[in-house]
Amino acid sequence: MRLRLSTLAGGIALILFGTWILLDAEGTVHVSFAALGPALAAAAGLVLLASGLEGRGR
Amino acid sequence: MSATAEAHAAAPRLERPRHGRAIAGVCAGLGRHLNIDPVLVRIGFVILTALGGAGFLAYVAAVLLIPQEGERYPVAHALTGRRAGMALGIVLLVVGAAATSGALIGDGLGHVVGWSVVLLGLGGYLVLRPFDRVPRGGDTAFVTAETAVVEPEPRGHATRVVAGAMLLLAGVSTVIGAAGAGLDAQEVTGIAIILAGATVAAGAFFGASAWLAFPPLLIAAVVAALAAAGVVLRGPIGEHSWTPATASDLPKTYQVAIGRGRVDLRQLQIAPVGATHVTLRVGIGDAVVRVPRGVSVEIHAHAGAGRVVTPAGKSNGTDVDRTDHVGPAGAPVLDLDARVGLGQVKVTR
Repeated sequence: MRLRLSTLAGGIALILFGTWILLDAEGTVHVSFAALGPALAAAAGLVLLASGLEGRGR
Repeated sequence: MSATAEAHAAAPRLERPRHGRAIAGVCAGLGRHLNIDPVLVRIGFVILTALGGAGFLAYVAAVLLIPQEGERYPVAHALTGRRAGMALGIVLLVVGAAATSGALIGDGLGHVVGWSVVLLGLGGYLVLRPFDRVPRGGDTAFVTAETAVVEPEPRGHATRVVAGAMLLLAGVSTVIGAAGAGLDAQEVTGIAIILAGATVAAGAFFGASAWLAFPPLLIAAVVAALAAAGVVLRGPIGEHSWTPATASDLPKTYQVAIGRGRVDLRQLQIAPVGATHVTLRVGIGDAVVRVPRGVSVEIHAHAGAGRVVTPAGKSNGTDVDRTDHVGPAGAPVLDLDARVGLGQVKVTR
């Protein structure tokens, strides 16, 4: 069965976001507005990049 | 006979019958499909409706998603085609993810139980429901129990199973959060998002749609924004007012999770010696404090994102802090600490 890169990228982005939120709750790291925008852009970029690579492979 | 065909033979097609219905045939259809008494299904819907209205929403969704007897497609499909189904699925996942957090800050056991039942029920149904083959134009004969030789549709099936698994995880997270387990809402939500991510990543190897990542990512963005603002969702929801008269009336902290917390201190007898401490915390909303005249007030106010207004001035933006002193020197001292995550702190006299 063929791997869907965009789905995998979305899953990884979610795992990273969840870990960030969890670590903030534990007090290990701090989620700030300054970092949130770039993080969201990076997540969207990751999924779009994977989607693009996926489309090129067809 | 294949396993799929056996499943079809064992369970009648899920549809809303034209006869024997009470309202729109949802409970009668579910009862027939699941081989249980429709009265039990109706009781379930009534209980869920009484526990916060989830039953009503589920019934409306079922009317849209379950086809009427003798018709191929549900109402949702007839309205705008397959895109409506996808949009409805995304809305369902967003509601499921939001409910995971919402149940943790809502009041009452019924609220939590209601959402858990809905999430676990929908998730379990999506995962365990036998796979149907959707007939397409050009099909000369639809599959019957005897002729079912169904080519699998792995992509659509994987998407549905992953969506169901995510709803199940949301339901389990809700139950764990409600049960205590020493975890606060942010920790439970973080764990739920990690589990959702792992489920989506695993689904990628079976052809699941990337759109599945969108609802939990949206929730993650909202939760991260709340965390950045320092929102602490503890306490009740709604508008709450307190008018303490003596120091013994003061709790350690006045708390409101979402809404407005209003503390009127004008009746409070301030100790002539030392300082009287008052603390107010609002997660999202307004923290409003009225302080008495003739008292020396030390104000420590913070808004994660929003505005702070005191008799000495006002500030707005993100991470807003104000420390002001108002009132005559030498007078009894009131030490006020007011914080809001998202919203406004307003101190007036």
